[in-house]
Amino acid sequence: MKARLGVALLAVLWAAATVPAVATAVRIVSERAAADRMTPLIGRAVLALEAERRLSVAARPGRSAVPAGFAAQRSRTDQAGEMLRRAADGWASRVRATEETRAADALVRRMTGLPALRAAVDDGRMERRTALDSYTGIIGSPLGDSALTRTRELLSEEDALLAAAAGAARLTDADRLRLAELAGARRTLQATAAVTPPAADRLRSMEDALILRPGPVPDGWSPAFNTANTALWDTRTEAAREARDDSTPYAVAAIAWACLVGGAGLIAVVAVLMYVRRFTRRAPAPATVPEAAAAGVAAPEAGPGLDALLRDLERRNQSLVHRLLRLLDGLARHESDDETLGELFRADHFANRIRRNLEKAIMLAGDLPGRRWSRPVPLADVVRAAASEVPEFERVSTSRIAPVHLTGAAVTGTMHLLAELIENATTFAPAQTRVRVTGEPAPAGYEVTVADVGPGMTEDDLATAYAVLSDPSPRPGGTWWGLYATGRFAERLGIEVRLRNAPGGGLEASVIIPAALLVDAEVAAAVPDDATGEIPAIAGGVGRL
Amino acid sequence: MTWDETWYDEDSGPLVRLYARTGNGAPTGAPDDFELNALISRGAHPASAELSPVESVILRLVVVPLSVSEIAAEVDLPLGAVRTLLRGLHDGGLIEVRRPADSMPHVLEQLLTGLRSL
Repeated sequence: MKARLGVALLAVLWAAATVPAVATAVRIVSERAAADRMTPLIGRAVLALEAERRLSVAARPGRSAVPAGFAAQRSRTDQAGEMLRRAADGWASRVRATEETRAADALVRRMTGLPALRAAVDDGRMERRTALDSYTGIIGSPLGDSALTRTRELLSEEDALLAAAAGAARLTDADRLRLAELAGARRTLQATAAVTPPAADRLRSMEDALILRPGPVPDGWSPAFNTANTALWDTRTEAAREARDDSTPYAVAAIAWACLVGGAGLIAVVAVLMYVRRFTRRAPAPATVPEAAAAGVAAPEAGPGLDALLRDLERRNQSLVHRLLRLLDGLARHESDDETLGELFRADHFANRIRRNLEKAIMLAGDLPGRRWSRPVPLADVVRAAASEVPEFERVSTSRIAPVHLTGAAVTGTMHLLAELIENATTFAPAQTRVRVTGEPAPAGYEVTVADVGPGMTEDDLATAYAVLSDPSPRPGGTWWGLYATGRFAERLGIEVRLRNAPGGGLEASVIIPAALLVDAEVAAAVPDDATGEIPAIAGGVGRL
Repeated sequence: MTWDETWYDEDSGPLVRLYARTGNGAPTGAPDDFELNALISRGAHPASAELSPVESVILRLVVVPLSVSEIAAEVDLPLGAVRTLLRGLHDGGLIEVRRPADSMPHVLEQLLTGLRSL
């Protein structure tokens, strides 16, 4: 009963830590996804509505003369509105509301008023100015209230106003008053946004002339407006894209953190469950393990059902980490920004360390991890893979490994064995010092040496270390767990591990790999298809160093 | 949803992850001369034993001057990672960098001479 309660508590703790981390990552990712998807659709709808507004209010002497493309523009507007409505519906129901989805929803709602407005425009009941304001009301400001965005929207409204007046001999006083308002507001915002669109001076002088003296709209207005409008639109799109790119490292960090908290926590829960299970199995020899008496109580509850459940969790975790690493690999290969690439590499390193812990737990429980090799693999790659699994992999030098291949079946075990010794070395040697891993043929097979410049070990510690290496069960307290795992992996593969203080100081761990686990580099080279995905030149180049 | 349990050889992904293949740490993102078409050639200093395998491969490649993008393609690493490696090699005097702009007047001069001799 106690064990079950403990496990439940652990699971609750894990969930408490994981849920906020995952929720943050999901929120950031879904916000970005929504922004990526919604913003272009909103932009398209806004531009379509502006074009329709201009055509609808354009002066048409004689109601029969419908401007060319009027019907086509309406259908384009409808199409843009329909795409936005579908996207907004899809997103709103699936992810939490973001600024973009709310803006899209509101715009879609406002656009339901379009048919009535169009009918009024068509039978000519409506004043052009009223129609203009109605369209402006429907458009609103769904792209945000930034000075840059509003500058462009106000300019577009000015253009529509002038289009409405173009046919008349001159602007009415009301038109000029409205133009003065719009132009004033736009210039203020333009200064706030610190942008000067091309043709700004021409626009300004034409505005001033129209406001001061009643007169026809000059021919130069439309080209100047189009130039400025396009430039402002591009600037706004670019600014939005930059703002989004700036947030990429945060998004990557949030995802990495969620993976770390979720993955590491789950591993801890699984590891504790396995620990309980192993003690339960070893219950017949309680004399050496005092805790077994307490754990034994849980024996009737931890039956085959729990066993299957734990194995299923293991499999799922492995599969998830596998997919996460594959994803990170793809992201890193396509990333052109150095800073983001650095963040991706850090996330990759975390995920790789999670995989190491997971595979270690599986192997200590006597199972085989999901990654397997059927063909020989260059030992230099196995050593580098081992070094990359420890927290401070930058301190590890692996440049002197005489070429040899390891049989596929021994890859995972040898890699994690070396990782334990390398991590020990980086932990106990002073920070900033290097840990050197070298390899050369030895009488019994091949010898890999992990050497640090730390304080070494006392005779007592060395004796304890050898005892731990050959002990089938771990000691309480975490101090010797790394060496315990080393011993288990070594025993399974028939590898011998020797520890000694180097004459010049520091500890040297020798790993003697038996000849049965080795394949000559030449023989392995005859095996087609390099199994590691490395380019062959790298494996071949090691020998010449 | 199916949960695959085992992956053999290539399916298990690269044994040495990209971040580990670039050697000493992540890209720094510092601005420098390593533009895509900058030409890299072998420097005066002899290679030391402390080089990572990828760095050795790069040194062998640039016996003939090669552009940064070509090197990235040859060693199959992201550009940022290659730039970081090149930065390290350059600091150690192992490679020399020629900006594409530096080579332009020379090429144009040769072109002009060639045209005149026609």
